[in-house]
Amino acid sequence: MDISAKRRSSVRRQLEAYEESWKQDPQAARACWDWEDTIVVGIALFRLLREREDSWRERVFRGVEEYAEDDNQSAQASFRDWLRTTEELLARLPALEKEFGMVERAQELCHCVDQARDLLAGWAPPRLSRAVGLREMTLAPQAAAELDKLLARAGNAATPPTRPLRRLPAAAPDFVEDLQKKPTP
Amino acid sequence: MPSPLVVVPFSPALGELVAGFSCGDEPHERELADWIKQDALAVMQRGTSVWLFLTEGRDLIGYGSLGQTNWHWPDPAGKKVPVQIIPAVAIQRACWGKPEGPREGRFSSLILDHLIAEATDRSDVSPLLGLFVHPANQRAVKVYERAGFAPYWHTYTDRATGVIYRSMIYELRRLGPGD
Repeated sequence: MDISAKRRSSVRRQLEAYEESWKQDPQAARACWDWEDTIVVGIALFRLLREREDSWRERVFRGVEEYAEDDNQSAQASFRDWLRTTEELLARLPALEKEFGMVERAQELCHCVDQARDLLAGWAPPRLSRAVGLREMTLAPQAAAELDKLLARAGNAATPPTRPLRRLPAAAPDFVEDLQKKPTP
Repeated sequence: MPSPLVVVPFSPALGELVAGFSCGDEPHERELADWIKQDALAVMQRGTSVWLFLTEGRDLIGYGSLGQTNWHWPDPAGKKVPVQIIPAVAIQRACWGKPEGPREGRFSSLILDHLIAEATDRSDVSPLLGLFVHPANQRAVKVYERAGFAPYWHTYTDRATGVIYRSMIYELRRLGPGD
């Protein structure tokens, strides 16, 4: 199993544990705090999925990792699985609130559900940066040696600038407001 | 004397303003026009700054951007260093070589100098400012050289197109108390 597959499976195990934590014996009597613990896990897991997705998108954008349709499908499947489990959990919320009154952080979990639905509805696969400068790249030995020299020299206050710094003025707020109203040429 | 250009940070609300942006008909020129129309907003979400440059008469002259990347040493266990990058900069075709007069007053010089000043503010990220040039864009190479960029050893081959991009570097100075 490669590193990527291991990483996926560790998240997969977290998702399975989240589902099993309350679905194994749904009829068992549980204290309010027990439900609240499950909600906290759901929120944390959603954040983990978002971070993992963003990290993958960044790697593809920077050219560190090549885009693979399998990864794209796997990322969406993780969100769909989390959403299904969480929607089932939240379906119990009215009954839980009737039994316990307020259930801590339930609204936050609802907000995560909204985000997950929006994310899946507007899902677009990541792609490599069109501007090549934003891609991460490995230098040839000669370029690396030259960069060492440049780094040792650059940023030194004693190094005279090739030109005095010139900065253009920022547009006034009403200028920008007008631009936003300007019709397309 | 008023500045011939003002700076506006790009935003989704200004999307229509760049819809007609044109900086030439060559493929690498169309690529730069497409970048501001299609890529810039998404790239901004990944930490790159993008600005539009306009006249007081609200005519769009060009755009510029400033981001960051990492360059890796060839040794697999070697270091990587952050480098500031100008991912894309372009001037509308009709504004090339304008305004008439000394070169330091041209839109291209003003825009590049502004990007260099912005990069200097961020020199704690990296004291180097790099950019990549399409090999067919010799006109741009001259403009960058006039702004103080020097050719750098590194080239980058785009695997999809086979184009070998040249790189250039500007050594930023650290800001002193009087700057």
